Amino acid sequence: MNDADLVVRLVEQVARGAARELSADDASAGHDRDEAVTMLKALQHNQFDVFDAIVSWAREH
Amino acid sequence: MSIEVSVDSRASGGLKLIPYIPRDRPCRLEGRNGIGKSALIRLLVLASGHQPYLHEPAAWASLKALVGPTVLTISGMSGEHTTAKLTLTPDEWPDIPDREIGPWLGHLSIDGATAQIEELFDCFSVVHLVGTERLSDTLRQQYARFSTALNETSRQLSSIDDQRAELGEIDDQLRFVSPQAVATDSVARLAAEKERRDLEPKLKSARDRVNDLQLAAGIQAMLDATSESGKADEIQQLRQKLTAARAELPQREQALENALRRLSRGTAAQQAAEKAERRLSEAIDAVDRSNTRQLEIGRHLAELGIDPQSPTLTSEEAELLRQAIEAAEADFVKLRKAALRQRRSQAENEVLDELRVVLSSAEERGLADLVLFDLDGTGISVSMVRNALGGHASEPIEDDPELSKIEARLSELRELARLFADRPELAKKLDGAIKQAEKDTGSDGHDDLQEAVATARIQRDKTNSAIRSLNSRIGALSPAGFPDIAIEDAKRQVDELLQKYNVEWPNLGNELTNSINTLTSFQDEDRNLRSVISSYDDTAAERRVARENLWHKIHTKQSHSWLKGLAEQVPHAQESPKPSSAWPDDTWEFLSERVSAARQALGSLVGQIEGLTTVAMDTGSTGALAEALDALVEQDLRDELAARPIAEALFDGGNVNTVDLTEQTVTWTTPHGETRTRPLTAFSSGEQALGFIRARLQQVADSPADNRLVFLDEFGAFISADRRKPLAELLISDSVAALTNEVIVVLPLQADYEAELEQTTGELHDDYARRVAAVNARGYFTEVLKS
Repeated sequence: MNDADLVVRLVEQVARGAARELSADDASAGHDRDEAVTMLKALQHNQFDVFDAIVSWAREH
Repeated sequence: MSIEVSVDSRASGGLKLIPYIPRDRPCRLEGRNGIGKSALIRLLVLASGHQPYLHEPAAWASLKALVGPTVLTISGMSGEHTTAKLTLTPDEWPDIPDREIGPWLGHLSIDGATAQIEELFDCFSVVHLVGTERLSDTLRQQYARFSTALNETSRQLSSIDDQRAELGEIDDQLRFVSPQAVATDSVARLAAEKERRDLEPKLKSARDRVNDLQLAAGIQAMLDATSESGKADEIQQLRQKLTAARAELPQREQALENALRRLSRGTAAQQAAEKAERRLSEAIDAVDRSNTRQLEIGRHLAELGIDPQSPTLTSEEAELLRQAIEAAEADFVKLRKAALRQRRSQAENEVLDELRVVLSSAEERGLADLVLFDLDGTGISVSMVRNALGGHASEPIEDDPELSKIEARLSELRELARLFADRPELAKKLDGAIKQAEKDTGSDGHDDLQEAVATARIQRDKTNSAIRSLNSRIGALSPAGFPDIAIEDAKRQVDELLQKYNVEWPNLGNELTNSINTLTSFQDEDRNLRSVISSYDDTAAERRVARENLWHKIHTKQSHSWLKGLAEQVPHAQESPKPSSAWPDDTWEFLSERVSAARQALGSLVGQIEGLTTVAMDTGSTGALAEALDALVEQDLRDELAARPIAEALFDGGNVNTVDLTEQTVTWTTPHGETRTRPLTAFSSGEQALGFIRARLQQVADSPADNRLVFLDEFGAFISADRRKPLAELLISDSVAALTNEVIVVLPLQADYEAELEQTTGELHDDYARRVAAVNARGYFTEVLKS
């Protein structure tokens, strides 16, 4: 597993950790954190070009 | 078949590399410290495509600086190729240890032919097991892996700071022009408008009440004052005289006209005298009219502290009047524009608002004097258009009392200024007329007709003078603002006003104060609402202009072109060559939402990575991020320990359930279903340590590979006399027998062989003698490892 994948796993774990702590009514915060995961993947996929990453990130939504 | 390694070292600066690893297996490689055993092992790991310096940037930098174009030759390989020769190119190596090893490593030839570096990675592998490794080391390595990865991601995120700042600006702009913001403002504006409409009748009612009560109080005060001082009677008498004088004036004027007509029918001299008298009469009349008009509108002068009857103005008084006119003009323009705005359609106002936004922006950028276009030979500048904007009325405004009031005041102030300006000319004309009359009427001695004209003129002038004087005296006796009505009428008016508002006379003062307070409050509220509504209109215009500008940027600037790509994701979106109106609200809303969400996600990501990077460097951290990191380290460690060889060696062949870093324990279930928990420290010494190493070897053995070198480094504890048996058992056990042809046990010198040489005999003596010779020659010896 390379460095990039390690960090993705970690951010995913942060999202999961938050989701565990949050009540079911407060799912939106967890959703936001999931967006951080997809944003990281998009950035990695687009060689950390923010704007290209946003275009592909938005496609995921 | 075993492989051998030859090294043609070009290292400098104290870096040493052992020159040769023979084909003996299992191989015992024993030597002095500092001769380059470990350094060669790490170079070979690097040559196999793995980065052994990942967490050691300083050691990497040192190696890069010192290793030079060293040549590694690996021969005796099995498979497609037999010999690989790698010439290192450290000048091309990255400054920081890169996990991915690339062509920068060196020039490769395989069996004499140039080859891609990746081909070596495919056919050659190196495993470096350190005998001192314990579970705690594995744990540290796990944290180090994450820390390195996070540092790299942090660096990458830092590199996009500028783009993030740019994104922030674009997000702000999109939010500003978003339909959601427009709708929010629109609702708020409607609410403010309704509030103001609701306020209007209250404001009018309060204003009427204050005006009426002020009038009543004023009249009553005047009545009180005049009755107390006897002025009432005097004013009454003066009014009677004024009425009589006004009634007399038409007769006087008619008498003068009749006398003049008679004179005009006389001799040539009399006709000339008639013309001179008529000019004189007109000049006097003009001066009278000017003086009378000044008295009529003289209250504006009194307000400025200027004597209303003063025939001329000092320079200070003239300046005061000029300033008053200027202020009145500004008020008038403001009210008129507001009134015109009320009369225009929404679309018309929007056009003007948008122009104002653009022109104001140009002024702020220092372009006030920029000539926009030429109109009939006159250059029209930005500021000219800006000032004139919204002031055009296609029809006069007649139904706005407030505007009419300020217009009348402005008109009278301007008239006063004209009266004073014209007065020297009037005086000059009068002087000329008097002189001409004296010349034309006095040359032939006495003339009855001329005498009659002069008498009639004098009578008329007297009457005019009396009217003016009476007006002046009445004005001087009357309090300011007192209406030009009779005392009885004034009393009746006061009674009516008090009845209208059901106010008792003794309470008038308090009622008036309360009413003024109420009116002031309503006026403040109205002013505030007007300001709020105006502000919403300004913002709406700014939004439309901003949206147009943004659309233009998106379609012309490379920096914004990505937004087109985003807009294309709007369901059913259609690009149109027309301006922004072609982008429906849905598109703008989509862009705003997505960019805003992306900015938020990016911010959240950066925050998390920064936090994670910090906690990864300090394993004692607490909090959600530290828990996430610990959870993954626990998970990875559990997966590693759950590998079958390790589970067999350390966990009774059972299933590893959890690793708890907080408690520093491992929990597993034995094949008999028994759950056991043990501290991690329990696996750090003695037989457990051997078991762990055995398990690691087993893992290697379970993954067979061609042309592999397995270095067992720092294995001194296992090779020493009392531990030799366990190591021997380990290496000859069935489970790791597959590694026999790959293992090289690397050791520091285990004895002073030279000193002990004389005490040995037979085969051992031969071995010692060979070892001494090799150590003396190269610093190390190699031989087949014996059990």
